[in-house]
Amino acid sequence: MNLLRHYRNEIILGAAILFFLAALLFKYERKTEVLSSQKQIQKELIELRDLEAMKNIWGAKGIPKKVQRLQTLVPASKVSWHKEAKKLTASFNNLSGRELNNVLNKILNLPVVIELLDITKTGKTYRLECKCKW
Amino acid sequence: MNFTGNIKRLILLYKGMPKQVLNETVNILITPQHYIIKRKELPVKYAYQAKKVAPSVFDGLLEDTQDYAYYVIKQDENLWDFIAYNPDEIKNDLENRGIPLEKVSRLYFAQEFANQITTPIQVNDETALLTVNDTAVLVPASALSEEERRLELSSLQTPKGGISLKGGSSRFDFEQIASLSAILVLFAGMLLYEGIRYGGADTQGKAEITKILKNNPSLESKYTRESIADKYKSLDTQERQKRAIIKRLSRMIFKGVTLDSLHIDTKKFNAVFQINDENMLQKFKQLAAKEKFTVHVKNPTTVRVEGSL
Repeated sequence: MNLLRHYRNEIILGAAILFFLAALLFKYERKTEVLSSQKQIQKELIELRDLEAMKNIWGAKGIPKKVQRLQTLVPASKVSWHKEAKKLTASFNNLSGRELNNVLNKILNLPVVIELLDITKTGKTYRLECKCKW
Repeated sequence: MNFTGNIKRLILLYKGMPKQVLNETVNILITPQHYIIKRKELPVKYAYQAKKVAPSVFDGLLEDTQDYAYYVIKQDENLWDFIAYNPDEIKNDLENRGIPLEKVSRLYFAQEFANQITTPIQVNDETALLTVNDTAVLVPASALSEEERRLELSSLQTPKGGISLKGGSSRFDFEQIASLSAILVLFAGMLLYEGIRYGGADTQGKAEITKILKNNPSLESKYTRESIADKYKSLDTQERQKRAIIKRLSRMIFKGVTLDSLHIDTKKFNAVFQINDENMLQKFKQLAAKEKFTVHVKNPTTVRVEGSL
């Protein structure tokens, strides 16, 4: 008891310093924890946004309709069309340069997997063969 | 650091003093009965240097059986007052007089007040404290004229210095420690509050995640998410690459260059171009180099560009 009384000031000051240090540590631990959690949330959010965006592009429901429109870009006589389930094999024959550009642009803007794209020039016209799936 | 100001009552400590009853913390003025003083010239600048040589100053003057501590007061340039005292003796005397150490803030030697004791201080009926030749000494009260004015202890200004017997050489008394501790606790409280307030983590981000997951329930499962990511990421990369190559090849068609054929599948691509003349061929080659394509010149008018995906 005498010892405690003797070192009372030191004990009080020591306890106050310890409490202060503990509070400081708590604050920094909490800050680190929250920052880490925020980073994790941001990372997850970016990942989900990317996934959602990719899913909306490559897994969109309206793709078959968009693919179907390719058939109407040039006269039916120039198109050979074979669509089965989610696969398309199409040939566009006797295309002028402008028609070729038009069809090619439409294909490139479609969210489909291009398995084959073949363009051949015969005289002044072009033939475009395309195999794609979605 | 003294937030409270050193305005504590000063009490004289002398042999034969009556028992005290204290309700507050006090400062003690130690009379020369409790210490030995010696004035000496010493060419040192700082007190700690003087204190180092203090034991040698009292060589042969002190009893070997007691433990002494030393205190120094600078009188003048190179002139020091060396004080030797026995802390245990002072402690015992204080406690015997009903003055517990925890009620003692600081102890001052009478010598520290020497310049203030311009008239005698009555210690008890028999003795008085007086400054003679710049040294505080106890003299018999009978040697002093009764008419001479006496100095009240309360009129003395507490000097800087003194000693503390509570915590070794601690210069802080309880009030100072309490003030410092209170400040530390206050800061600690602020830090704790700040730490707790950090609880409101990225709620906006969480809300957006919830919204995305609500629209795409399949993404809730980590396994499904990874599987979807694998599927779409590679597909996205490959398809963007194919389209980029077609665009880069189309940039190589200019006046004098026509596309003869283009083949692109899942692994490779090649394109054949017809070129009108040598100048165009050079320009075409430069463009191909810029686009980092491999060029094979079949004949002066036919060029094949190929690569893998």
